[in-house]
Amino acid sequence: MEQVYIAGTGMTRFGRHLDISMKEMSRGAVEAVLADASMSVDEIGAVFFSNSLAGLITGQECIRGEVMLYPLGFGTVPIYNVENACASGGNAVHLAWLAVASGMCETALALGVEKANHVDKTRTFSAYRSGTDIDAMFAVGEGAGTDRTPLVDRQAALAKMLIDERGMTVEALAKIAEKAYAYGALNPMAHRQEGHSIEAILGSRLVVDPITTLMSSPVSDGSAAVIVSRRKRSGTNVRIAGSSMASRPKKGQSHPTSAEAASQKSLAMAGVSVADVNVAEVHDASVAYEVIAWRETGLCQPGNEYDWAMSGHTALGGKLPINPSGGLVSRGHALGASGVAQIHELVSQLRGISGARQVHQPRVALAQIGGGVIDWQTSVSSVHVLVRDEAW
Amino acid sequence: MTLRRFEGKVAVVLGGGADGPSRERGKIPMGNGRAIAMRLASEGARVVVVDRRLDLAKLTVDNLQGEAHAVEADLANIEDCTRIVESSLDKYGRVDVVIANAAVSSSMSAVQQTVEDWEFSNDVNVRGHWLVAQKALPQMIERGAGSFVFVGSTAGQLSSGRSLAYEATKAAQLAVMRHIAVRFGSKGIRSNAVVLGVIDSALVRREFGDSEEALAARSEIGPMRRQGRPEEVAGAAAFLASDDASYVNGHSLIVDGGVSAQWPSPRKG
Ligand SMILES: NC(=O)c1ccc[n+]([C@@H]2O[C@H](COP(=O)([O-])OP(=O)(O)OC[C@H]3O[C@@H](n4cnc5c(N)ncnc54)[C@H](O)[C@@H]3O)[C@@H](O)[C@H]2O)c1
Repeated sequence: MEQVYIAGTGMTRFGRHLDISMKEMSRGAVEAVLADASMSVDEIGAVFFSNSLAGLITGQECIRGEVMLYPLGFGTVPIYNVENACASGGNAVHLAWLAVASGMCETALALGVEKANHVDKTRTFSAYRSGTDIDAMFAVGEGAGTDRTPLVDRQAALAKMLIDERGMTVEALAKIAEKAYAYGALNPMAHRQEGHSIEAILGSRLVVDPITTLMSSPVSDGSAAVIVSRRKRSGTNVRIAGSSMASRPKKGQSHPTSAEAASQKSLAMAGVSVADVNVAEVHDASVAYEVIAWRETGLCQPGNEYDWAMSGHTALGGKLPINPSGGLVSRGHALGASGVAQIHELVSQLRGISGARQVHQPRVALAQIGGGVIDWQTSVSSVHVLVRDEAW
Repeated sequence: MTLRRFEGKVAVVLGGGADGPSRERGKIPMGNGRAIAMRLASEGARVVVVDRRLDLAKLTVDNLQGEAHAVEADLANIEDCTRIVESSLDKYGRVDVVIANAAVSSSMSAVQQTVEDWEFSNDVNVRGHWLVAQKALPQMIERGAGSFVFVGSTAGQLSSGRSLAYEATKAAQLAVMRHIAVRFGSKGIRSNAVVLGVIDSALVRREFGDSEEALAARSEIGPMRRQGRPEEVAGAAAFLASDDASYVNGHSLIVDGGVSAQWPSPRKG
């Protein structure tokens, strides 16, 4: 297998961008990533385009990637359309890695673009429904899919489980959100940059008890891109040391969850242990899911969640900074772009160019993102382990 | 047939250094915690032997058959309690069984009882056990299986009038046992207690003396006319910890040779 380096990353600011088209967002991320990689369109051997909802929001269900990339000067090279709900972006990066690692091409682009907001909010909320088995919708309360995404109902159930079985409290969940907003306030690409206090988080609208609006990720529009290559870039290099995807366990089984399986595989592939990880970006569709992800990636032992939340373990300057981008809660959640944006953040951290959000000299970074829900479990997760070999 | 009920399992034994009266040549002195640790190991468990005295814990580890490691921790110390489960997770990745055995005892009546001793007894005999359980439970719940055995005392159910703090804290310890049984039974967790009468251990010899007369007097009190041995406690504790007790939950199993079954009837004159 070929060694795979990250030649460049780029993104556009996440937000509610009713007036920016998907084509414009695609252009923003592609221009940024090419500039960062000092490459031209012609050096890209394959494109993996990730998007989840365009078919349901704009109607562009087919040949999404080709439509977005044609105006940007792409031609002839294969453009693969990738969809796996919130994990679409991680999936695209995984496939780009595979294309280069396998020797299929020298350089590949993963581009994630999402335009989930629509003037008619119910269109967005009902589009999110397709992140579940629509024939066998899990139990949700009244209003799911019309005044909120039905996935929040699951987040609330997870939060209750964390409180009952792991010793979390609602305040500790709010504290994690406060951490996310503190990071996001330092990230010019974040959807929510305004920062929020614990009181504001607890006092914001209760969506499904105990999850408030400020404990959940917003519906974001935005784009992110990563170029991977067999060629090293000049300057500091970051390589993809582990890359994998996994689905939920078979019916009737509860472990390993998709995130557990993908994390174990990627860490083993990278030849590192969780103790080696210096910074991570994990899936926080809500703060409840962030806590679950701490555990499922293996970073946190069950039962330590409350201490981690309250002691600032994962905050800037803590022992293991998690979601320094602000995470989905603050940086924002543009489905197809989120997993790619995680890589953008971690590469910046490993290169040491994250400014006020910079984690102290990280060498190993882990990115996890999950997508969809089948039978109460996250249906797919991808995990990437990135390594900086060069000394600080 | 040798039983191997704990194959693949990890047990944490609090107070696993428990020493005892000296034994015949070649055998190490035995207290309840040590006997339980050795029994679980002989049935295949990997054992984390926890004691505030590392030398005693190491002696247990060196003498059991199987894999084990010793951890020095003071159950009266909150940080130490949280560290115990962590060290087992670091070393073995799991905790399947917790034996809550460590305890301190004193002998003060309600009139003599001091606040310091009351609090210290509570810290070790009750709070320490709960804190360890608090850390062990989440990963047990996640796996849907786990078992607690609290080493209790008949002093927690009946009063001998000897020690208020000991009696009160051993009663509270059984409340912790029942709470876990009831609250987390649906998650596959079982929680039980062995409730001990007079077992010939270091604790008892300290409290009641080890002269010939003292030993004889202790043997006299029960229908079996002898004291119990730590190995007999270990048999009962291992049963409760094992899947043989898969439908036993919230139970206090009295291991006292029948002492508490007696009714002190008047003698014929
Ligand atoms: N021996 C009996 O007759 C008898 C009767 C009833 C109940 N019990 C119970 O059996 C259990 C063990 O008794 P034993 O007779 O083996 O006692 P023991 O005193 O011989 O052993 C207790 C062990 O716990 C350790 N320990 C004490 N305080 C500790 C602390 N703060 N932190 C960590 N370790 C500590 C000691 O070092 C010792 O190794 C206790 O729960 C006791 O209440 C014993």
